[in-house]
Amino acid sequence: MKRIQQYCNVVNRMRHNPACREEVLYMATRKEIRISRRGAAAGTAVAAALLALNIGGGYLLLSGDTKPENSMVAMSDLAEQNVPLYVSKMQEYYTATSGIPCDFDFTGYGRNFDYTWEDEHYRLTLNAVTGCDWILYYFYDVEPLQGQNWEQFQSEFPTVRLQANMPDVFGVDYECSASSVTTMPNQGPALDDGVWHCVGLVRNWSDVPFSAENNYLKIYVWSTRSGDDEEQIGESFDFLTLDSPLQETDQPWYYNAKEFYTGEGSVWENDQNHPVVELNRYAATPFGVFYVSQVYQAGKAQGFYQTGYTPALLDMNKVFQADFTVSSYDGAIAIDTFDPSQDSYCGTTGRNGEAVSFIHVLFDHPWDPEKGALCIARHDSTAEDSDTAEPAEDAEEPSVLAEKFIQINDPKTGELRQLSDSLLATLSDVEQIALAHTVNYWCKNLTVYRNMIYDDETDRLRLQFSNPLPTDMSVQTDCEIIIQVSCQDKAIPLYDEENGEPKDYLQVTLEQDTRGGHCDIWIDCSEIEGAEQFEVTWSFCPNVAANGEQNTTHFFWTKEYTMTDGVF
Amino acid sequence: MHSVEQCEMERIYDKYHESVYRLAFAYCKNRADAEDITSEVFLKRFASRKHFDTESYETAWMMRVTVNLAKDLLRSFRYRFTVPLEDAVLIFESPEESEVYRAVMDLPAKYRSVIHLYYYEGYSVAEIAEIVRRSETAVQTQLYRARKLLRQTLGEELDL
Repeated sequence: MKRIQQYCNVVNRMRHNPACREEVLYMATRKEIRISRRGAAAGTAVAAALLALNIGGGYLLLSGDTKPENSMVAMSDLAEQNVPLYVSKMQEYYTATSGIPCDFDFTGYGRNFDYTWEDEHYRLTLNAVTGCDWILYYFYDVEPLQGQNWEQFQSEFPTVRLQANMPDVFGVDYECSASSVTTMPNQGPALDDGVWHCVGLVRNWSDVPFSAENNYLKIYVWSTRSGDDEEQIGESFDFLTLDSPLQETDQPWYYNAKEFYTGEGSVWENDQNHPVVELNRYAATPFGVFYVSQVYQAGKAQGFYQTGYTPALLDMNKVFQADFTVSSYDGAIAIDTFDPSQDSYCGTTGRNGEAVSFIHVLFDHPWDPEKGALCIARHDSTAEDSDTAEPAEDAEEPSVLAEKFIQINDPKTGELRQLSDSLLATLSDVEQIALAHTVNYWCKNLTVYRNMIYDDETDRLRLQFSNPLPTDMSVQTDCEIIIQVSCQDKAIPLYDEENGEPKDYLQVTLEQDTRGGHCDIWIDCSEIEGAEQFEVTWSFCPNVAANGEQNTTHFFWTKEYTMTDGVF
Repeated sequence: MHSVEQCEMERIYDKYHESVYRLAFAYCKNRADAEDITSEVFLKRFASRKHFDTESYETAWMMRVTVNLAKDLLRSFRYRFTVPLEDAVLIFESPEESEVYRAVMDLPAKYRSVIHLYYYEGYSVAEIAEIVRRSETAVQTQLYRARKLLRQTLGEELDL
């Protein structure tokens, strides 16, 4: 006799690993360590000096399959340090770069190493790697063993190279790597404690995060003294995050390109006949903003494009508010660490006949997602080459400002903190308008996730809306929207339950919890049969600060292309 | 910095860890991910300032967070492909047990989760609806379809 109770019996015998208890309590107490067991599941020794940071509902891990061999050893080693080396190194780097003291807590954004390599001339020690899915900083020391001076050091190029192997990017084996002798910004020719402190950085010139499945990192050491071959030190290791993927923008966002070499492609132009670039995906981390643009129809097959154009840099505003302290606000000041003349910050490649560019805007000071908001704004829709220009203080027409804003992040509370009246008074009109648009965009962004699933049993489409913003668990930020569906200018009846009554429109609440609330609506496929697309119009209820602005999403559909499972 | 004191953390952990782990396993079907999810659930709980008036609210919260984290995992790149059941951690005392258990685990994630919550945890449809953030009708439908699939696999004599 088969009974469902037999399932329960098996589950009852299942035992949760007792070691997890101490780890979790330790982590909760120390707020430092995160252990991943995926390596163990694969049968490898877990190495995981894994440091976690709850940010945006996810956490970031660096894991390796090398030493330490035991995760608890890693925990105790790290616990002895008040501040992990990778944290202090990154703080030192930013402080030296920007001149602003940096105390940002990078805990969870990296891993300490103690890999050492030496020949008869130099000893190199890799100390730490810090970064996110799109850029990694690595810190190493070079010790001259034979009294070499600065010039010899420069010419002999003893270096550590960090390489990210990404097998499935663009359908080819792709590598991101960096190899250069760059000393820390505060390190001159003089030795410091007998070493030169060096830093390298690896950029991810793709839209596949470092943390994607099958990607791994290797560390090589090389010196002109040691011959032609690089030597890998340590073992390959994974970089894992469960966060910071590139997100789709709410709608394609066109902005000016600084230069545009058309090649054999065509140029997209805006209504002022300026070449434009489409921004359609972005990610923001404390290290920078990373975005992807589809730039022109290249008409080429898959391949790499190393030259082309320099897209305009989006003006960046940052709003820092530490505990609502007015003095920390420096909004509407363009982040100035990016020099658009250096196109090395932009990678262009081709995919399926279309050129795609990957732009990195690096911050000179870390941006704290928990303390402030960040927006990308285009200040002047008619500007040709004002890609880095600060907003004009004397702008007369507010409409030229910020026709598009992307609110990258809400503070941890799930709310955009309001500036005080006294602070607002210090802002120019331009800045105030920018801020207002920022608030609105944040609201618009609430229901950016939409999905469609076809149910062949009922011949219905299920449309799913979700409120994706991660938030503090204690804060609920619900979002109330009204949804209507039409097809070929005809209203389509909606169902809010699988067996419910048809309705002309639905008013639903997307509750905010750990990952955002969901709502499902159903429509009969017979109502849209033969049409390639239908429109879903949704608008915020008046109690949301988007003033009832309507948003329309076009769902292109066929039964074959819709998902059949409920995971989205 | 944490809102929950050490002894309270221990109480919460001891009270819920098996349920959380087993529910996570029902979603991701392997020990490593289930343990990761379980750890994450408790870290979120301990970092939370949330106060629960009743035990049932707290239980529902723990289950809901588990479901959300498990769904996140299922959306990830790795889970776009089928992840086999890691049965090395399972103990079967009869072939029927194995057959029934595997049949449940072969269900789509949304179905096996409601089966787990309904039959193993003993939640009502209304409580499950609250946990998985679906309407009661949707949960009822999922239960109906899950049972139907189980009967297709295991035969009509399956005792539910």
